[in-house]
Amino acid sequence: MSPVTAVESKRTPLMLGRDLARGRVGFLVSGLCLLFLMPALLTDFRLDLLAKFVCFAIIAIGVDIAWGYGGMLVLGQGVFFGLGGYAMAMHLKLAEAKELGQDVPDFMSWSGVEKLPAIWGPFQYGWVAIIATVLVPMVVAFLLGSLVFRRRVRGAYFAILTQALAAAFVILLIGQQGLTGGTNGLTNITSFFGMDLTDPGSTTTLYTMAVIALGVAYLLARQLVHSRYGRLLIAVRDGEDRVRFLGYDPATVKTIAFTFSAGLAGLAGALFVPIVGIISPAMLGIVPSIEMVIWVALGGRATLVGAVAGALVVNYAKSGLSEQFPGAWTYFQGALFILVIAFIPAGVAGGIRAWRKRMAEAATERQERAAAASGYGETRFE
Amino acid sequence: MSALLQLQDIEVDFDGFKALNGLTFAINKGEVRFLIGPNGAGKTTAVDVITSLTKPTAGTVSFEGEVITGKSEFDIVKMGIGRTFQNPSVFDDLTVVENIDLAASFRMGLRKMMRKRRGISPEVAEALELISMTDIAERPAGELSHGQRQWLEIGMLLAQDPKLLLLDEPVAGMSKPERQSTGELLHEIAKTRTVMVVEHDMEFLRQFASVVTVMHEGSVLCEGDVATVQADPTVQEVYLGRSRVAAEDETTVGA
Ligand SMILES: Nc1ncnc2c1ncn2[C@@H]1O[C@H](COP(=O)(O)OP(=O)(O)OP(=O)(O)O)[C@@H](O)[C@H]1O
Ligand SMILES: [Mg+2]
Repeated sequence: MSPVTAVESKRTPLMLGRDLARGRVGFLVSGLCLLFLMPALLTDFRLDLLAKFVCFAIIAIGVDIAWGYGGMLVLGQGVFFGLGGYAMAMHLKLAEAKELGQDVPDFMSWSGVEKLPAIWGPFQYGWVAIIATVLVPMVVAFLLGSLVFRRRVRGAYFAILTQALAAAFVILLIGQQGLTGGTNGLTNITSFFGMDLTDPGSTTTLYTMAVIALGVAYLLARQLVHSRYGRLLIAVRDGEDRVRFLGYDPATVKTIAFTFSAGLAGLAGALFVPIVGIISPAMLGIVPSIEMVIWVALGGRATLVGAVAGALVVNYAKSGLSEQFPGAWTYFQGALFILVIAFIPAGVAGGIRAWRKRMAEAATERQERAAAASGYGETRFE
Repeated sequence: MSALLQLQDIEVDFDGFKALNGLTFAINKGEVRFLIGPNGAGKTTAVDVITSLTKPTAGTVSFEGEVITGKSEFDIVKMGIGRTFQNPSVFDDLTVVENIDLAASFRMGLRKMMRKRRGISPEVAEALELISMTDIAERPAGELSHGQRQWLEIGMLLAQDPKLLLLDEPVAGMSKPERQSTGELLHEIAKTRTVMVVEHDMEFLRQFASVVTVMHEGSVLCEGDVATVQADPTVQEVYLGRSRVAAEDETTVGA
């Protein structure tokens, strides 16, 4: 009765098991490699750089969830990265001031602020700051998402909106010299919860923290992607209007993914501050926000491994190239971006995935043709 | 007995063009209602209004006695009205079973949604079985043929388990044997459900309809069982009128 021809599922349970095992082994091997091999191999300077890239990889996972899986082109992730970074830096500056017996952080007294502004108050407490680094970006993203997704702001309009948000955030930060340190940002962060950041040994500790955070972010994102919700997110990306007729509100689905991505960017910001020792508007404006998307575009949209690898490799190349040819990076990145979009629009990991699939299909086809040919031969020679 | 679905004086205005103009009809529980009419009569627009894809400029739709005009698309699904689309729109990057599972899961809480799907739930298995796709459940929907995609849409609709199913041209673009098996599937579905089918195919209609509503230029032309509708002179005129226009077109081309 069916118009459907039954085709044997090509995936046997055995193969599926092997795939899963490979995923886990890959995760463990790269995790152990990052955790133990890299600190042994790299100089403190290089390890410090890698720690920074690991923070960027956490942002990339969030971008991938929002954009790669959810189809929301987020061009303002710098805002959430900045919120996390500033929340952490505010606490560290206050702790430093307290250590020195001052009422306000150094930059405030330079601009003549003598009384601690109310908004800084709660950040005296380390736990408030730590929670805020993730929670504040999430709350902002949640409010923004609830507001705009329900009004069906999407596509280029959403991208421009997030971009404008990044621009506005930078203007806000620069304009409030006494409150935020203005253009300079919050600088000279030398101590992190009692740890002396000028001590070379601190690098490995901070690096290890960042790698563990990346591992946790990866596992969370993986769980999200493989859940029913993850499937729904892909459905929203590919047919938002159709999803409504499945009984779901796409606005809710998108808000969740956007909020998650903001949380990860905030977490990355919090880790970035002790590693680099500074957070400033230049690190979270329009250009850095676009770069965050480029990592994922190059590495491979809708593959978590691609996003992580994209962030690590692109930033590694950037630091290498800028050391040798200062100023050339921007052009190089632009050219690379255009090449990838033109030839492998799914990014490197996406390209590899498609290529592997094609090879598998070609192999089955060859087998089928060989079988058909031998069958033909037999009848002919009978 | 009050109707399951009632459309009352529905009017839809597309920039001055009235796609629906005082459309009024009702569907009772357990019916297999066919909605027919020439191209552009407003059949799809009627389905769009019921499911809130198009907001009517006037009139009300009520379902189980409650006015549903102005509710959101997903709230209407939650109340128990499901639909398919004239152009099948399934999710190509998801597998067949994932498509159906999503359709079956909209009542699920967020916590449960955040977990991975383990195996295939009985409702999903039943829908897969009904559309004969158990064997290709793990294939990406993007690899399906046009006919299979239409079936998958029906499978998703079944998994939703609505009280009222709206099918917009479920056999359009299908081959004859495919139509036949789709008809049988529809027959199976209609045994326990209320269905409204938009269809052009007269053969198909004769086989399966219990009540027919004929639409023309945005309102109901006539309504009744298959024999009554076929015997109605106005219906004949609408359809004959169309074929006369078509014949004239042909002569123009020939000249
Ligand atoms: N969004 C729209 N804007 C303007 N006009 C529209 C729109 N949607 C439909 N129409 C017009 O409204 C009329 C009714 O369209 P509808 O799709 O409901 O017809 P139908 O009965 O489903 O026809 P068919 O048998 O071709 O599917 C048509 O003349 C169509 O061109
Ligand atoms: Mg139509």
